[in-house]
Amino acid sequence: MSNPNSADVVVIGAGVTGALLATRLAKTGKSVLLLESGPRMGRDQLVERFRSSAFKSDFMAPYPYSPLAPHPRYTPEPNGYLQQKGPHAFNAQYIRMFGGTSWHWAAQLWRYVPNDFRQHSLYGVGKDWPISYDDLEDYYYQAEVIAGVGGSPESGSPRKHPFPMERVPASWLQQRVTARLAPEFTVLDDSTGRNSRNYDGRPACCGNNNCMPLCPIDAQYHGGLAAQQAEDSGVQVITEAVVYRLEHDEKGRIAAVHYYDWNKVSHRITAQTFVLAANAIETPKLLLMSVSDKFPQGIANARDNVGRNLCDHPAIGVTFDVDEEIWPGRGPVSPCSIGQFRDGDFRAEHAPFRIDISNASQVASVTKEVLAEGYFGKRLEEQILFRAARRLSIKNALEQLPDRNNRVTLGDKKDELGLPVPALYWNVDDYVVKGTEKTRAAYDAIAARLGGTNIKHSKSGAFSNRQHITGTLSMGLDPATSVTDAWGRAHDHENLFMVGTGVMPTVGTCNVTLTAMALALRTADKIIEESRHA
Amino acid sequence: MRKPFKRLLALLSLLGAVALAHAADDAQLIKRGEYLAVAGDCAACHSEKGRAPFSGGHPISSPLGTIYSTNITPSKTHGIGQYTPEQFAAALRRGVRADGSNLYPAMPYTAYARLNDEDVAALYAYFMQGVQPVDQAPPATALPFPFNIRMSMKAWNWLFLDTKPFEPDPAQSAQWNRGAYLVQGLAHCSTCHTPRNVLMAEQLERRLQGASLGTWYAPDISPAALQAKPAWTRAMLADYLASGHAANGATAGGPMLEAIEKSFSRMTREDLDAMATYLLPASPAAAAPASATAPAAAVPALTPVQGDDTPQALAAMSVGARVYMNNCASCHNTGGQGLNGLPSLQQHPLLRQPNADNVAMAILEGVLPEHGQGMIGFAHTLNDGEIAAVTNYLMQDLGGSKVSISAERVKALRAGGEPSPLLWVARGGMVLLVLVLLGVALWWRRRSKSGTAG
Amino acid sequence: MHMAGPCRFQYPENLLRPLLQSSNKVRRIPAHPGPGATARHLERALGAFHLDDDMTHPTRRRVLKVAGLMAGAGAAGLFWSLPHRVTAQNNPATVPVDDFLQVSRQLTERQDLSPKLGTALLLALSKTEKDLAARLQSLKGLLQAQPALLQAERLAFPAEQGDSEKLARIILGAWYDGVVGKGKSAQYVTYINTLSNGLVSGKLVPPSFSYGPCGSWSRQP
Repeated sequence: MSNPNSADVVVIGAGVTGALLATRLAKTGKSVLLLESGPRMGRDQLVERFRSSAFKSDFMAPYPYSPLAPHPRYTPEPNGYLQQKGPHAFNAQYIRMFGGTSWHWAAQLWRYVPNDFRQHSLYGVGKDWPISYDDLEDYYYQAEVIAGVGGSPESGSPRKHPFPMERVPASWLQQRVTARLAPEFTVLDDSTGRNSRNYDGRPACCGNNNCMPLCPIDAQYHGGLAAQQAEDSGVQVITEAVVYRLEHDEKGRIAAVHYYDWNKVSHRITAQTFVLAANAIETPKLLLMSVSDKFPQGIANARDNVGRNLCDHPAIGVTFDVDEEIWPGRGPVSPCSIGQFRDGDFRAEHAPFRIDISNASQVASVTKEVLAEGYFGKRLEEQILFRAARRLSIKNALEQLPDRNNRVTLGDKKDELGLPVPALYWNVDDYVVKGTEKTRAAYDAIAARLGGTNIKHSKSGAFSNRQHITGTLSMGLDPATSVTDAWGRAHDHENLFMVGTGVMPTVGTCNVTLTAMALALRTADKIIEESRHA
Repeated sequence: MRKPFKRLLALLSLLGAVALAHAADDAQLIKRGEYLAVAGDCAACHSEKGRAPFSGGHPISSPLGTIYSTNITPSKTHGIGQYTPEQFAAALRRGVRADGSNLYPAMPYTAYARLNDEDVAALYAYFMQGVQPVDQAPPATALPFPFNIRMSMKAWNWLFLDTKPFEPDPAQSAQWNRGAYLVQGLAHCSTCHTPRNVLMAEQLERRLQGASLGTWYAPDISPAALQAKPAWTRAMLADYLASGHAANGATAGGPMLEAIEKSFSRMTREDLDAMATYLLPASPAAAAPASATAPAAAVPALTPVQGDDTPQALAAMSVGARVYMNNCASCHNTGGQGLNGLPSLQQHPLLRQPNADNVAMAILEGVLPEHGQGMIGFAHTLNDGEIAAVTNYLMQDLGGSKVSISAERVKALRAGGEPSPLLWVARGGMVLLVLVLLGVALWWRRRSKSGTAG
Repeated sequence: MHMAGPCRFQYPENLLRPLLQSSNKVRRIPAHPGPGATARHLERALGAFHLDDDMTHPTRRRVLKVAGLMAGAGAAGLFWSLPHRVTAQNNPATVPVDDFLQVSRQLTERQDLSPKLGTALLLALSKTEKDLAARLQSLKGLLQAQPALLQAERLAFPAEQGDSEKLARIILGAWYDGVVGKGKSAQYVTYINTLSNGLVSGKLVPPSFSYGPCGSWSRQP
């Protein structure tokens, strides 16, 4: 057992990106300490908690919660952890536990399209990345191999190598929707880290239809697996360790981290290199908390960029009943989508978007709907059967442009450890609103092609969050407008790196985790390369 | 002890067979050799993932240490490219390398000793001409003293190797004899399924009656066991060898699954039926036609998922039942009855075994075939106590067995099995021998001294 | 000796398994742990009752853990009595299961409702619904007096019977959803046996249970 007070590298946050980076560093022989604010919990316990949950539509319900490492909570009632300051509530969902938030996703692992990296040069909006698609291509592939990603070769992201995973067979729903929406709409397989054969010691999907919130058999890749692999690779893990301060030396190098254990005892850990991987809200919070005389605005925040440019994919949805039985609930939850609105000259005018078609079972939601309409007896059952067989639920992911005013700051409430809660200011601009108009038109066209009835659009002017949180630690070439450089290194602190979706300067047109994973592997390689030359 | 005459005869016979073989169509011979290599499952040991086929390097853990398989490609520098047919036969059937040193019986030459000359010739043709030469050395095997002295194998062979080739039984059918030849020879079933004595030799009087491999347990496949109710039929046996599944609910895992995937599933149905015929003596039940293992229903109905999952019932669950519900039920259903084509556990033959090792091993390692639906392993998810609890739940609550497993045994299985006493027996034995010799030497000296005195 | 290949995995010696952390406020009714219960099971059974604890006070958690392990069956007996600490009005004994089942049958128009499940639902409802006994009698009487109400297409009771209509919907929700109550007092009762899951069981499997081997969902249901 290595010295618990010191290591070569300290990584803060045992989510998928922190775990991947830690694993890669540990395999080169470095001593790596991975600190996680939350607890560990096994998959089987989570399965039990899911099945006996009274809030099955809240994907967070099975996961452990502690006021000592709080995260936003919405059931049994909202805990108000995030202070909402802006015109739109940014209802983030994340899990502080060993494995992080991707325990409860649908393993969507997309590459950006090349133009996503150059939206400013091409379309005059938003920002250019400091790197190109080509810089990331190899790392995209490495991440895809780790996660066992399969998908459609026509997704718009060029590939040097074929997907490592064969496609997951399409459900009847996917087949029918695809056939009937063609040629106006092209429905393609999602890029997902879901096994269609045994891979990485994990079986193929067998249709538990429970990807969100939890796969009972780990047929899909998730952060829990990454974190376990980190530990198996020799990374030393300390859970229930809430880092509250980064300590620097007189030159501005990070010297140590301080954390509370869950008995509120403080510990200090020194290291050569520090990596923040605590998600795009908690990492800025940590940086902002780490004030000192030399850095009165917090670490890495000399130019007031930490926490700014907060982005998500604002989403609107629609549900309707198709005119034939398609039976959502058979097979994986998020199998397919429409990607033809992701890129094009229109991006100069309005937000691009991806349209996700859900295959999650609709039984529970149509039951509630039908009960609320007052049905009972045989008619209740007829209605449930009718709607459960036909209900199509569609939502999108609109690309939001980075706006400095959208930001994470420290709130004025304190949690149980005396640490400030995050405060969020979030607005949705005209670029997105114009995109929603296009989306609604597409939704109506889709519903029409499917003979849809009982069409219900989500509330106009309201957006839900997709939990693709980016921007708050933006990479960039210019320190005046970014927090980290092209490698994820803090501009002002040579031995401080950041990984996770927070370093992504734009939110793109697809789910963000694969890009974050690729960046984390790239950052890990940079750290390794530098330590070889040191 | 072989008389030179016998050896000469054997050599002539082999050369004759080889000569005949050359006269026949070479390509056909190579193809036949390829099939025989599949039947003998040479690739299971001599091919390793990430290395060229048959170039060796596959680690075989034995109680004595790790044995690495050798390069049997026709490479002249690193493989058997220089082997004459006689040397090839000697390696295959007597465990003797071309340089005269002995192979460890990890190479099942004790079974391959049954091979007839024609088959040896075909295998020779395949390995010399049908396999790509690979000029790469695998890692060397280095067993601890005294087992690194391969000459010790000569003593072992003298004690335990039966070199008689297979002789067909004229009282039995051709199919039976073919099955016997395969089971005793190429398929080398008894190397796993027969228990071994303290010197790791098969106990011939208990042939095929089941043996532990350290972790997985090779079940009793003697006729008595196969006929015990609920009996296997020949069709079930052949189906099992072909696919790893049978109508009686059997599913293959561990080393048998590997053998099925690499060997049995790629053999002809005739050969599988022959082996089943040999293993199961004739009886009306044994000859029952294959009950449809997969009823070709138009749209099979979904298996109901039922059971009391109220909070009261959940809280009343035993540890084993609870572990089962949270880890196993999603595929095997709440009562182990199987779910929509995923295997039933209720009548599973594993639950009737004399120990629960295979159940625990399947839980630890999972069952992950090359093709087809797999099962995840729970080594990371469950601790020893939980695995013991759920194993006992399966054996006893579901299977009605009296067999149980302890957390200590699960711990040992995780670690790869109990350490074998063989090394210490051998070393202890040698120390004892040295002490005895020393004692004798001292006594002799004393005798001589006292003899000269006085 | 053709031995099995070496283990491919390094099995960690001690897998860290946290105590069950009760983050959802579901009141789990304990049963006395069976004779075979290990300490861990007891730990978990106790864990189910740290409803408002939520790991807030780790030292208290540790004390409770030790106390629980040492108290053994006695502690379990104590917790067994917890759900019976209900007010006289909501004492399940005063709400006849038969009445509840009768009303349920009328509202669902099904004769095959499980009395066992009904008992569990009633027990849960008696915690979440104030004055359940009286309200149930009221609803029962109403349905008897005005059978026409059940001939309508939907539940549409007269305005003055608004509470009975509310209760009727709650009872239907309980059977079809398996959950009663809202917010902090929401209670799970069943999942695989909800009437909704039963209704679609010819086409779907409740999520977290398998549809079948990979690809089996491609065929038309």
